[in-house]
Amino acid sequence: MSLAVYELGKGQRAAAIQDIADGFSRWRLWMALALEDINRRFKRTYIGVLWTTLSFALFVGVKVLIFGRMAPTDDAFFTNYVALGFFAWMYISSSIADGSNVFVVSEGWIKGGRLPLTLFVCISITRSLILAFYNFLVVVALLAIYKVAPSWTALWSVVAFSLFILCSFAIHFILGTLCTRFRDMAHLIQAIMRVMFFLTPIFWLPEQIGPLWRYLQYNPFAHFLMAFRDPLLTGTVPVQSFQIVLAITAVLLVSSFTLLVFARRRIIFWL
Amino acid sequence: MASILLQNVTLSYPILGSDRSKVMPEDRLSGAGSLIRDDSSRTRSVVALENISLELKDGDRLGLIGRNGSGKSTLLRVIAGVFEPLEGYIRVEGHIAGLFSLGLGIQPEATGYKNILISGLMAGFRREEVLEKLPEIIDFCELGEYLDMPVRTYSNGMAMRLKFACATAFNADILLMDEWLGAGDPEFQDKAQKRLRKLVDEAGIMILASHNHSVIRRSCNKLAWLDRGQLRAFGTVEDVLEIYETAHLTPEEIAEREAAREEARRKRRVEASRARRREAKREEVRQAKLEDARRQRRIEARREKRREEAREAKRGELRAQRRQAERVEQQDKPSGKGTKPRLAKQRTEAKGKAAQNRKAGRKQLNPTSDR
Repeated sequence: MSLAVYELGKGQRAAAIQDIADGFSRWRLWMALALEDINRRFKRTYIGVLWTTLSFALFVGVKVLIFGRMAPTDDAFFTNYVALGFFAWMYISSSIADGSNVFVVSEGWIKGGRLPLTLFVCISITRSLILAFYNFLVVVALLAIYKVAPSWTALWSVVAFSLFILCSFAIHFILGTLCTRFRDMAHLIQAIMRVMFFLTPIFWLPEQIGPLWRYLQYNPFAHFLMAFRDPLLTGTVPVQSFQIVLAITAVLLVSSFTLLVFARRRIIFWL
Repeated sequence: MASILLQNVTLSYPILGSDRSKVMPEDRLSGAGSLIRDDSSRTRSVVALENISLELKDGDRLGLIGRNGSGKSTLLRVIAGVFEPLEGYIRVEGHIAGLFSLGLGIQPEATGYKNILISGLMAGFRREEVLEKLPEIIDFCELGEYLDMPVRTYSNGMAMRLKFACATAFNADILLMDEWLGAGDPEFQDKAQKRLRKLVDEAGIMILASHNHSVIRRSCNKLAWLDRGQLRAFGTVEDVLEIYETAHLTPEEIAEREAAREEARRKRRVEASRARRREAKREEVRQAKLEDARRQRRIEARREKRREEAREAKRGELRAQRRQAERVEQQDKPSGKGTKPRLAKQRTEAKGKAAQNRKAGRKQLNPTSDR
């Protein structure tokens, strides 16, 4: 049983670390709740969570059908390009969308009992990862169909995805807190993300847009995508993208912890 | 070993996004609710708790009273660690069970079993501990096969049984309650009350926020009165209730209440003396009845005696007659001489005695002569 002794009113940094430790240690709870979330989302459907896979496949298919004609590459490459890119994008954008309202949707729970905020972040990320797994089935299928044999370099994609997960923790805390306090934020982020989808090289190649890329490469999402996609697809490691992703991850982690220290006990009052 | 320590705890809820142009001077606030205060030029807050200091030890059963919005629930949640005040210090030792958010985290799509597990995990227990308690919970809630079905198929009452069973399955050192709990149909209600009572008895510290003073009198040994977020009184239940009740009256009402009490006392006195008089009268009647009965018995006895005497006299007379007859016979003979005058004397004596007895009996019948 937890909470044998607790003290409030001092040591916010220690309390924040305690929150994170408590949150992670209750993995059985957040696993169960994440699974229940997915169950609820697909309740009484025949194919259940496979709907994610299906809709992902459909989306990739249509993108390839339309934009493949304009792409200066062959269909095999472009299909995998879109699938990998869209997979990464789906994870990133769902992290941002879920992160924005992670505390708002958990209002009842946060006000109902003493639960670490990290718990809700873990639930949300676990849910995203489960859905990502079902999307990844499509990616794997396409890689197999087009006989793209991953080399050892492809492990860099795993590194990139691990960084994604780290970032999504930070993003949950940062956006979760900000969007709880400032309710306009969630709508703003939604609007931005819709635009970013087109400004990120998901269904177009940087070569295709010419001089415009000079500006679009300042879009951090582009580097996240490339860091994940290139090792798997082309067997090359985009060093610059990795540097950018690492830097962003570090900044996000530090700022999210700082924000957690400040806002941990205030969030409940903003709900 | 449970203990709770609060030192100068102040907790205010910022009111975000409200219209600040409306001025709300706190001294004019009337009715329910805590004080509303402008912390700075930008933020306005509801001061739910102000400068609360409190210390509780094992064995304390604290009741919390106060009108709506006085901070009772907030205080419970502060002690449970849900709200962490920005000012003040809190230290709580012991496992806490907050029974104020029953059914928190109930997953309508999950089965009863799954929900039992989740709610146990939510309360901070390990999976093994929950599984250990599982048979008891199943047995208690009496939901049978429904436990295999999603909770959304349950009726409200059935869901309540499940929530109650989960919430009360584990003993806690510190039990926090927002109003005394109840659940289910009359049968279950009985069982639930027994279980809750047991939980309360086994807890080190219990805190109950309630508007029901009789429940508080029954279950608590200490009482705190919260008024607009401030601790107005703290002490024994009777003392604080007295203060609370007195404070809720205007001077006229207090005078009225005093008058009413005086009136009640007078009435009680009158009633008591009336009762005494009634009792005395009743006693008198009872005594009279007893006396009557006794007298009746005496009269009976005397009558019996008289009858006996009369019979005796008759027998004597008969004997005398017989003897006289014998004497007459003997007078005819020489030996019977001189007996006749003696017999006549005896006869007159017996007659006189009977008459006397009769007279005395008549005299006894008259009650006035008895007293």
